[in-house]
Order: sequence, then structure tokens, then C-alpha cells
Amino acid sequence: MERNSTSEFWVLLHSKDPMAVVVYQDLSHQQDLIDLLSLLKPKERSLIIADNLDSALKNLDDIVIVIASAEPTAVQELDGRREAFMERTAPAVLFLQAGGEAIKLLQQSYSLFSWIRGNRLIDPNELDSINETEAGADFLQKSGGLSPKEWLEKWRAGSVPDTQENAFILHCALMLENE
Amino acid sequence: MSGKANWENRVKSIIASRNALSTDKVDWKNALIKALTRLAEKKFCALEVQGWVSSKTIDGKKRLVTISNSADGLVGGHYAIKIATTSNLNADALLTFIVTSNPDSSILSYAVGLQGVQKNGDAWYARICLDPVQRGHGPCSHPLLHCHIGKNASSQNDPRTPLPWITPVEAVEWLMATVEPGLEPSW
Repeated sequence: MERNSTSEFWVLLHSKDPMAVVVYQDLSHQQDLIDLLSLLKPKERSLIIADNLDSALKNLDDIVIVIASAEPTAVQELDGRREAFMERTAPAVLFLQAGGEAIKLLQQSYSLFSWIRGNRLIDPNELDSINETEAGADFLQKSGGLSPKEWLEKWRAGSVPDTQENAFILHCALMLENE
Repeated sequence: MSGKANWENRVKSIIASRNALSTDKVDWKNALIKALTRLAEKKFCALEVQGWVSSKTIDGKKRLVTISNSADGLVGGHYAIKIATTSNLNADALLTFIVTSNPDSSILSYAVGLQGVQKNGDAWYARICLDPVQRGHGPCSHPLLHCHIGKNASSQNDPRTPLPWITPVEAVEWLMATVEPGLEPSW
């Protein structure tokens, strides 16, 4: 089954996993992800947004999103107090910026990194990226050997039947078309 | 009032509305999840539907929002959401959508469809399409934003009903309210 960030988040938020790390690109992406988690959380769970890990240790039954002002410090703290988080019955979700010091620190903290990967490390940018080569090969099969550009030219000329199947192919072609 | 200019003006109006979305910075995945959550809360689809909306991109350029392979229905080779019994359709009607947006969140193209079986046993389907560009013979026979309505989703001859500007989320709302008047938006 193809993985994507929405289903990973949904499964996480409906689990009892104690801890997860989410990788965001920038502040706008961070906000979109907070909005998404708020939408996907189970109705019976509260969701708290905190700026430190202490909140995750006080609110064991709530989903806690941790947006730390000093992300590397939060990683060090998590490394030192990992056992304490095992009591949680809902996930605490630590946000870390892609390419930042905190992610590097997490990757260097082998034991912690292995624990998080064993629990949850969700990088939406990686999960939601289309592999252009695979998608291109898949498209050729669907289009009867036409490249996205060739298929779109036929579509624009009106010589592709206006069917539901072709509406799906159109969107794949638009994604793969090199502008 | 009739003639080519009016049809072309309708196209211009839709393009303007489509481009205006770039200032709203809408996350279409989140917006569709919200609409589906409302359906799930009223028991018209599974609650897991929230996790079935995927968003894919190539290098952060265009974004494709559609239904993932975790979903409970299939239309041809594409994933769909099963809809419970509504006033007009039997159980297991199928909702599909696919949206391609630009990095600024304006919409390039979308298709939202619903197909099922009416209470009298007749097949029913409707599919709303926003094309990326004008195609066919012109904006009268092939409006930029239109709805196919008929019995067979594979048919090529059903008329294309012209539509005023609606977003893909509104397309879901409209189709669902069409088959279940109780789903008239009230928020």
C-alpha cells in the first residue's frame, strides 16, 4: 500500500504511541500540519499545543503538539527523559524543522533515533513526493505510450474522449508535464 | 442576450475566480478533509475517510489531491469513497475527486464525481470538471467548468451543463446535497 502523510497521521493520532516526530519545511508548512492534525484527531481526545516537553508529561491522555522554541534542546531533553514518555496513552508530537540542527542531533542520537523510527518519524515532504520516473512509466502504460506532453496536446485538440477515466489521466499528465 | 461574447465572458469569470484563490492560500487537502468529516459525522461515509485524502507533489510544484489507496471503494482503477444510503441513491454510491493546484493554491483543474443506483434501480452519475484550458469546439458546447449528468460514467455523449464558479469542496457539497437534501450546508 502506498504511504502518504495523511494516512500516517491518522493512524498515529488514533494510536496509543507515546511519541512521534514530524518534520516540517517552514512556518507556513508547520501551520498547515497543525491544522491537519487538529482535523484528524479523534473527537474524544483533546489536542494541546505546547512550547515544551513538560506539557507532554503532564497531559498523558491528550495529544500534545510540541513546537519548541529551541528544537535542539528539546531533542536533548527527549533523549535524557525518554522512559518518562512511555506512560503516555496518546501521542506527543514533536515538530522539527527539515535540515535544522535538531534533526541532525536526532540522527546522531542513535538510540533515540532508533526509538523514534520504531515509533513514528513522519516526514510529509518525503512521503508525499511523487517519484517522477515511476509515475512517468505508469503514465506511459495508461496513455498507450504517449508522453504527458503528447497526451495533453491530443486532449487540448479535443481528440481525447471526455470520459471519467480520461479525467484521471488528465490530472496525471498535468502533474508530469514539464513546463 | 446571447452569442459568443457571453460564453467567453463566463470563461473569463471562471478563470478570474480560479486565479483569485491564490490570495486565499487554501490547503485543498485540509479543506476536502473538513467536507468529508461533515459527511462522516452524519454517517454517510466511514470516519476513516479523514485519512484517505492524499496530497502528492513533484518538487513542491503542482499538487495533486485525491483519494488514496486506503479508501473503501473503487471506480475503474481509481480509489473512491463509499457513500451510505441517501434519499435518492442506494447504499454504496461512490464519490471520487482529483484536484491539481498550483504552488500558490490556485486551482489548475479538478474533477469531482458521484455515481450510484437510484431507488428505482436506474444508474445515476454526475461529474463536475474544471478543465485547465478551454477545449473542444467552444465555451458553449464545452464550458470550462461543467457537469456531466447521466447514467453511465463512461459515456461520451452526455451533455455538459455549464456551471458558475464553485470550488472542489463546493462540488462535493453540491453533489451530496443533490442526492441527500438533508446535507444542505447550514454552517
